[in-house]
Amino acid sequence: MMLRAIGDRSTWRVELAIAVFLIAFPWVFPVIGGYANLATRILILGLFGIGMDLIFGYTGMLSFGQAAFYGTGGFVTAYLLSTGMLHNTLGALAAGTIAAACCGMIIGYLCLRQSGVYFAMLTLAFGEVFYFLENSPLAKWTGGENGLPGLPKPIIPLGFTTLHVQSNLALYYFVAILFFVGYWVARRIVRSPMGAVLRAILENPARAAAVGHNVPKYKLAVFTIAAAYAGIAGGLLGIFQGYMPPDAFSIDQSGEIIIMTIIGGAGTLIGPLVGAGLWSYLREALQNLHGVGAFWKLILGLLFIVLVTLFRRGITGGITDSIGLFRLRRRTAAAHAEEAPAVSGEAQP
Amino acid sequence: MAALLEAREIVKRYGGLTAVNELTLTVEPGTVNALIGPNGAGKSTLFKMLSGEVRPTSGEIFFKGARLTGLNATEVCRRGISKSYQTTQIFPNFTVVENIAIPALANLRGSFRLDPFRRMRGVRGLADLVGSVLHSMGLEERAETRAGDLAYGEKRRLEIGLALATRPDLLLLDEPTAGMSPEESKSTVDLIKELRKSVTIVVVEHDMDVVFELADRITVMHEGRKIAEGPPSEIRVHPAVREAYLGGTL
Ligand SMILES: Nc1ncnc2c1ncn2[C@@H]1O[C@H](COP(=O)(O)OP(=O)(O)O)[C@@H](O)[C@H]1O
Ligand SMILES: [Mg+2]
Repeated sequence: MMLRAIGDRSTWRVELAIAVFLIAFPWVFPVIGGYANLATRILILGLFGIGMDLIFGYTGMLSFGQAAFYGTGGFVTAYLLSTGMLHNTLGALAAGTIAAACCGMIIGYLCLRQSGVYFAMLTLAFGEVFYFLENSPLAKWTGGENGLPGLPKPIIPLGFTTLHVQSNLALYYFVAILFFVGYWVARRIVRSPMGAVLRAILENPARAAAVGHNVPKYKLAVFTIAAAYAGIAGGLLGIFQGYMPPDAFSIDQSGEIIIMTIIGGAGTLIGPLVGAGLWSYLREALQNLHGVGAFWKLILGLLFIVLVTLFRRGITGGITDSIGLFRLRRRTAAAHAEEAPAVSGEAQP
Repeated sequence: MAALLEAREIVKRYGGLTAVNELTLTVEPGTVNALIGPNGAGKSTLFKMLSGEVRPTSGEIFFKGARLTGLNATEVCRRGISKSYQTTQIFPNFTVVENIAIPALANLRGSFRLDPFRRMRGVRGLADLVGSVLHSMGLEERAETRAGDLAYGEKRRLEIGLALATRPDLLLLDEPTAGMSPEESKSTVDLIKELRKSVTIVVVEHDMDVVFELADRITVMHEGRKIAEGPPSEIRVHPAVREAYLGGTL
């Protein structure tokens, strides 16, 4: 009997593959017209999407308000750094992440009294409230419609020396390291006993509760964790651009991260990164394509309709399913090959 | 001897319909109690009140001497009552082991624990508990099968296994043999006989042979009310029961 993590088959190989990909990405990406800054942007969205995937793909909660936490993390980090209150970039990121997680806990507490569509609508409403707060009452701190400019390049004191992240490539690797840590943490979460309970809630919430799990508490916990992912991603966005844009709070942002998660494959953790990559790359490519110009949104929309129809579990789900099927075929073939001589051996005497 | 469970005059109304009407039930520890009655008598509704899924309109429920009324299903489960459902409620995309692991985790970790960095094998006692439930349910061979792919009878046994893996003191079985073939039904009855050695049972069952074979005590319900109660020997000859439920077939 095997008591491995629920729904999981692979081990450290996945982490290794992700690490290799992260290292190679900015070098391979230019082959198809990509560049370091686009790669960085994709990783930031991928990190944001890991949180989305934890609540949506693993626990079954669809939130339309994740931009609230993306924006909160971004603006707290940006405020601390641009005003010079903090010089340590990691410290500011941590503060932004904690602020986003706290907001997540409060909003989650209020929204989780409802479930299904009502939960989704409440998160949408709170997302709008946050956008409004950023734009008007808090404009003194957030810069309102102008956002917050003037974020310095990352400065990371390590005790014995201080790292100054200057080039685009260095900035990419700074984000890549944090993405990897975020990914590793999320993998641990979904493979832990707590992760097993989250999946049980996705599968059959009533039964999960009836066998003794406090479902509302688990939902609140994972919602808070997702807000923390959104927060750190928002902080990284500001640092990366040197400027924190107000539309991080926008409803479009909440919608995009859902689309990326679904396209890339919910319940895979890496899906949002794949979705963000496809989305961001195609947007660049289409916008620069002669004659397409303003039609890029239409083309992307149609393409995604096709993708969602083709792969019910997204691109990543589609790929892992094919690998699984291939392995199954190979195993059955091997089993047949083993059986065959035994049968002929029986027939001989 | 103190009763394990005591429901006092519990009532459940759905609008104008009274599904359970001033029903009083006492369950002694170590016994098997059968609950019988025609469809719509209120048996499942009674179970839902005992398991905390539905709050009684009035009346009180006591378990191990403490008041149970008003607790939700999670809390009731933590107190030691677990139910297997009339309609199978499993985790279809999990394997059989994974299914059993979910209630086992609740039993071993409590109703909530933030342990995102613990590994599954780091939960002490998990493998033993899951293994023993698989063994009692006769599902060891199917451990790695996706639950949704099991045969009907196996799904029903897994359903009981989910309730059992919470290690309850009182097990509520809502029509465990419904829809089973005679062989499947027989093996399930054997299984319940095994279970009674370690847990108190209340079972809703339609097959009278099974009821008379298993039960120490039988409660008969009709239109939400308890119309008779007693050991099998009394129920067998009870006039009201014969008229209302057994239809004189015995
Ligand atoms: N959620 C509900 N809402 C309204 N009526 C219900 C509900 N659940 C059960 N009932 C009604 O209560 C009565 C008892 O149902 P139930 O407890 O399922 O009976 P049994 O399990 O004995 O067949 C039935 O008339 C049924 O239609
Ligand atoms: Mg019923």
